[in-house]
Amino acid sequence: MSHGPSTGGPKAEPNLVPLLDVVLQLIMFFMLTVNFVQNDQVNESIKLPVAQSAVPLDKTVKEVLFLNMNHEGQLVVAGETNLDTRSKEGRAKIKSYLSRQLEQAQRRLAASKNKEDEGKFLVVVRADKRAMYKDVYQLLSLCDDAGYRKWQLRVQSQA
Amino acid sequence: MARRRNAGDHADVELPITPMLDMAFQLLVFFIFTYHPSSMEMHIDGNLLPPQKPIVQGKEPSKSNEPAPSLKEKPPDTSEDMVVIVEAMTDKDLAGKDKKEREKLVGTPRRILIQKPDAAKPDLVCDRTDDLEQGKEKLAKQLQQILISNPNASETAIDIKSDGDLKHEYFISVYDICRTRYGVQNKGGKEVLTRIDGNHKEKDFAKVLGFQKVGFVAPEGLADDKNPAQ
Repeated sequence: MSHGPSTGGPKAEPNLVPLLDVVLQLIMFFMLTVNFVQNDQVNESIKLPVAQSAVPLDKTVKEVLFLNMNHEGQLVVAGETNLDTRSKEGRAKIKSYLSRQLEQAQRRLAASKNKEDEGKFLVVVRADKRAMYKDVYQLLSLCDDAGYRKWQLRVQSQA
Repeated sequence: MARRRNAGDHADVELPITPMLDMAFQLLVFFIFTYHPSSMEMHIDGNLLPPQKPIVQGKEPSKSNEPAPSLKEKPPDTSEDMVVIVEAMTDKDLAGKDKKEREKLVGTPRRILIQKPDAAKPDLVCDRTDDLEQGKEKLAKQLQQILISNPNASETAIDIKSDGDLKHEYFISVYDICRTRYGVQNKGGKEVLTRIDGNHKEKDFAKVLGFQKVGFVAPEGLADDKNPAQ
């Protein structure tokens, strides 16, 4: 693309077309990698702990319940307050929240025609690294009470 | 359609690029800010006990071959399992320190001990005279030695018994050390262990050592809402 010098003096305009090409490429990249579904499940303010023995994500599980726990041992769920693992009322609320979610998940799985999907639901616990072990354990045992059988702890892999 | 034609020049049709570029930049900024590389997140798998049917750890009929830690409801049978005990710094240990230091240190490991299956008393691995990295190193060394000295050690289940006040971060790093797998290489008649991470693959080694079953033990003083006494 040879753009000859424009005839006649000061009207030197930068060629924006290649720049625009590059920018559009970048936009395409970010558009394809963006994942809107995850945005309401993944809380950015939570700092995950680092582990190297962790395994990559498994995409076959259909029903996943994300539980974000902040550094004070509270669950962060949109539209719910005071889901605190350290108080009795909080635990009762978490329990009812979990059973509601499980019920919905089971209904959705029952509606799906794919028989293989049955029983494929799990909780993903994204606990902040400053949370205490007892909070995490408490949450897992609440999940157990609610009827969840599989769990995952989310961690950051060391890049 | 009247074509504008400058006298003597070719047709000069030009797209208004600048507003388009402005829009493109706006879009770019939006997508950069919403970008979240979720592939950076990995997970640790686990199973909860089915009701009234406690399943032996690691023998879960799961589809993946990945052994999973399970929550144990009864205290571990110390005659079979190896127990890694992690004690946490509490406010009591830090009396006399100023507030800033207390906030920094509370919830860090104070002592790490290993209770071997046939030992009467747990062995001390590290305490506060070591800093955190040294402590982790010592724990890793101890576990390596157990793996080397006993050919069946990989079958031994580890239970991590941690104080409830330990921060999640440190709990995960202890878990991580327990789950580390080592490839064995023979170098000049001596066995050399290499930590298997992203740079190595298990099939590159003739022999791989590592504890398969790592479980969590309930911390003491966990609130139980089903028990009216608490």
